[in-house]
Amino acid sequence: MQFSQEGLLSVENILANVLEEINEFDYRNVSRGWFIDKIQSALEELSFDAMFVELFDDYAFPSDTLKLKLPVNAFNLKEVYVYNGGLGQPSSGFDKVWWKRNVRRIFDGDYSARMKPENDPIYGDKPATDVENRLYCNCVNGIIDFSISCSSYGFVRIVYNGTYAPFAEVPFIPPMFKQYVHSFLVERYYRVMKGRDYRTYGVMWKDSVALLGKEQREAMVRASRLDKKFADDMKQYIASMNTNGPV
Amino acid sequence: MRTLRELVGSVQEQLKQTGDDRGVHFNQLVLWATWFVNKYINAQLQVQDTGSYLSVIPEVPVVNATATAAPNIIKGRKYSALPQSVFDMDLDRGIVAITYPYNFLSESYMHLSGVQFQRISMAKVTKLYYSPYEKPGADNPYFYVYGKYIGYLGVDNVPLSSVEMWLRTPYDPFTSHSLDDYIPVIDQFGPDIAKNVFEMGRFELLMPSDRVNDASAQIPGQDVPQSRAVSVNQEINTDQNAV
Repeated sequence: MQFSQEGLLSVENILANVLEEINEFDYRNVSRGWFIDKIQSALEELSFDAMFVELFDDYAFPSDTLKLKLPVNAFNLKEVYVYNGGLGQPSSGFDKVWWKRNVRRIFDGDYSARMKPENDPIYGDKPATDVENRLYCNCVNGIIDFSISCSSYGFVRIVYNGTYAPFAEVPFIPPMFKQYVHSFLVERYYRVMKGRDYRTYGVMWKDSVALLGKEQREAMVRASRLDKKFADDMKQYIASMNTNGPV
Repeated sequence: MRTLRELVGSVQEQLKQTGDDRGVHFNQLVLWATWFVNKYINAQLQVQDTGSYLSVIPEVPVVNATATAAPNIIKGRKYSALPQSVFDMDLDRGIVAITYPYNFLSESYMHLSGVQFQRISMAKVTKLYYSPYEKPGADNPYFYVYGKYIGYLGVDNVPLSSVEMWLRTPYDPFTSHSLDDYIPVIDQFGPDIAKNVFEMGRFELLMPSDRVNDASAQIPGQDVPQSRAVSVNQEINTDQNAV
């Protein structure tokens, strides 16, 4: 998704409006940290549905364990590459690492898989090196398992959908989702308060739920309409049957 | 704009009308009036966002307890003693704000928007540590009230010697205020306060001991009506009340 880093909104920018609406200037009922936590939740919820945050990270290849943990804010692994050179500075380009299902590497030696080349019941034995020499990985429980052949590379890059700010860092809010985050906070606040005093806050909470639904739909539509260049280019490529287009 | 001196003086004048030799001491009336003034202020603060009864105390000492002295003083915990009594309100709203400057070594207390302590109760303290955003810290400090003390969370590693406090303090003409201070509630609820004080005065003047008052000299002593204690459980003498 394309938006300027300078255009991101701070927590204070959101709170300036939210606190006014709910009249909670002195943080007596809930703390300031509670609001920040809910801002993070709002962005996470939207990220899971709209996947508007695409991030990538580079790491030194874990040649000793062949295992790499996903970053804390990642929830959808999209691409994996390996390369040599320096961190983030490939000397001879990126090589794609392919996904192979059901692979669980125990340690840097053998691995378990439902179908291994040396015991294939249908096609018979095949040289294990056919597979081991290829670049593949699998991601289970937040850990990426690599094949041994990947260890000939010095670095790995992963591309993933994630939440915008890692947990425990102060989140910043894309401006197009300002109203959604605002409504999310108001709804969560009244949800807490109705548990303490339903007669006063119950009606307000119901109103806020309706408003949040509207804002959430708008945010989803916005997220789907963004990245217009990518969408337009795809249409042109598909329309012209240009097979050299992005895949 | 009325002051408490005027209000109490007026009530005292009314009470004197009941007899030349009768009256209630001025200080006694002031004490009663203060009760009612604070009662009305407290009621007003529940429904009004007003700064009329707000006091700011710039440098309230913060003590880092070096030894435990039960009750209330625990070694290693930072606390302050409340410099004045405050209204006991829901969620400790009698304490409006406690702040310390961002850079307390070089900046003075001239800035209003320093680091502000957030109010928390002891029951909720543990929950703060469940979320990294709520965890107490130097930029996210909390205070909690216990009795006449205020404890602090999150400033363990901050060399904090004093804080600024904004307090909703009761009106007290004997110490922190004067009889001639402008108290808005006297303008708004003057008749009610005067009525209540007057009722207290009348009640005091009707005390049984006061009914034996030889100073009038118009009634022979033996004719002065004597008070008679009657139990509320005693049956009514129908013969005496028969018409």
